[in-house]
Amino acid sequence: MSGTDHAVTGREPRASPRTPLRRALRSLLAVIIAVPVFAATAFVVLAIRFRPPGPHMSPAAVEREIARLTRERDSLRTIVWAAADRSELLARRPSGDVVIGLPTPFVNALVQDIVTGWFHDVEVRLHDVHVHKAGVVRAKMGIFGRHEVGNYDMDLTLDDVRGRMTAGEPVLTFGGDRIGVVLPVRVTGGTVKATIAIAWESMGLAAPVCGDFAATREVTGTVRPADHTAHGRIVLSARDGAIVADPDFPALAVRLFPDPAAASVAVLDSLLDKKGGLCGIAVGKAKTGDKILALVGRGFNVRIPQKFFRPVTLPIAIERSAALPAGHLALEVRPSGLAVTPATVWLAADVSIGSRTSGATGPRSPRNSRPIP
Amino acid sequence: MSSTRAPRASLVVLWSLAAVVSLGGCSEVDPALRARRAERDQLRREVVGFRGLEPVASSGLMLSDREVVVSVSDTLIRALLDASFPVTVPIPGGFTVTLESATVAFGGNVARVDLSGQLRRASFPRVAAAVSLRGALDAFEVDSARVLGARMTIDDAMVGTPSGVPRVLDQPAILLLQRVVERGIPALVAVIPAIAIPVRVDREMVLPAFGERAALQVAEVRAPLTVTAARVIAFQNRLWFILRVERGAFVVAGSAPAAGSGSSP
Repeated sequence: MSGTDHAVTGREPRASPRTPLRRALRSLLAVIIAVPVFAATAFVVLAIRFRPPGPHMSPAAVEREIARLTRERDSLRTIVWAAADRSELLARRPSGDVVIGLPTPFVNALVQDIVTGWFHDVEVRLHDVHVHKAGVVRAKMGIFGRHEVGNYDMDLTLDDVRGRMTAGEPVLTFGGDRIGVVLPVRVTGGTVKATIAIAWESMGLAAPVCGDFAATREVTGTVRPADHTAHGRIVLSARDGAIVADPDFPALAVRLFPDPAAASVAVLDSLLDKKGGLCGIAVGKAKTGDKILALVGRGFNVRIPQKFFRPVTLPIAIERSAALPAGHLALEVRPSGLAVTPATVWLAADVSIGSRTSGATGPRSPRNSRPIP
Repeated sequence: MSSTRAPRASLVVLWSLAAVVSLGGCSEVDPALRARRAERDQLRREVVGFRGLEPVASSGLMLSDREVVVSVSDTLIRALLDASFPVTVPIPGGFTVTLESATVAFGGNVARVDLSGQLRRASFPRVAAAVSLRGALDAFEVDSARVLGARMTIDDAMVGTPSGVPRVLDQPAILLLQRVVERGIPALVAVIPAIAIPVRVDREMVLPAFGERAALQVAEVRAPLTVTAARVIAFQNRLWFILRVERGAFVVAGSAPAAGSGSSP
């Protein structure tokens, strides 16, 4: 007992030679435990924090779904591919990185739009067209028999003839890499302003009583409606990455038929009718009014110049550059095919990447874009 | 007594850690399982895509006289994507994803796009790993510059073995980085630049004036065009845009619209 008390109260306990080693081992152990525990805790916390959303299926369920989806996919694919093989639309499609296909119903509608545009509010005008007519008038002068009574010299100047032109529905034929067009064109009417200058020189028996005279009168009238048919074609070409529709109507002309108002012609006739007696007989035989009508009645050709049918650039084109997050990318566009089939008009082009130009374009924002439904 | 208890405790903790790590590795990073899930997701897309083609198969590619088709090859789309790289996108957690290359495959009405790049964390603890993103082109648009465009959606991300991490921590590190990238997908989708498909769609048709002093006089007329993409279909290794073109009334330049000169399909 005393020995024990001494050991407790009176004597310093003897340090074990293994104590520092134990302390070191304990520290090491603490580190060994703390580091993985810390790492595991951090790992679990991060794993929970970055847990992907949504439940995960079991591997077996995934396999079952893959098998079901594969069967469904294959069945649908067979149906769709068979339909694609039957499609006339895709037949004879030229190859290229970018292919633009215009189905013939679309081209039909577009050409009608274009024709409507060409003939929208079209006015055909003739200015200062001069027509000259001269002749000798022979008349039966009673007991004196048939004699030359005078000659006339008539200048008709069409100062301003305005006709309105419209087009009907074009008939298009597709094939052979061209589009044939038959286009009904109608001159719907218009107005005429003309000046008639007539000179009368009496001859023979009429000369002493009639003498010579000259008169100038303005004549007004209308343009007679008339129908024409234009035969041509539309040539499609690739220009600057776009399809350009170039109309070709090589020999289209419309004929304007001025119709002088009866009252206008009558003014001239009345002028001549003032000469009475023998003179009246003489100039009456001249039938000036009839001659004027005959002169203009044959009509006047107005050739529609090729430039009238203005080329139209179709509203879909292949761009020669593309926007990048920072700048632009030049593109080299090489037309690789243009085909007109009974079903589709195709334009194809190969596109290769060219040089890049830097700029502050930045990523395109969806806010600047109009979403497609 | 304590000298023996501590190593046992440490052993338990280590085993637990290993179990957690291995469980996590098996359930989330198993490449085979992830690949099967990705395959399933791809099949889901294809089935939805083919279902979308069923009306096309029965009624044809075009459903209206006012529709045209623009087809773009996967080669060109890939070249355009590649040209827009590298693109560096910051994602949450102090990481960046640098996208470097793309592969595309258009089939089964799915415009699939895979992107490859690098995941990096520049500050401590530094880490880098290869990353691949699987997704598809989606959200086709006509932008204000009249250009057709498409944006990407990302379905899945795969992270490779990271550098800068002790080999023993590869699996947990991959798991962690995988989660980082998956959580960053919305940020990636928002910032990945749209693909500008080099097809311009005009908003107006112009027929210039003709013959101011000639026998024929025609004023310039313009008609507004509304072009929208009615459908976008992916098959035969190409993207097919079905565009609907609506023309408004032709109007003589500088005047009010002419009555009855419009067209409606």
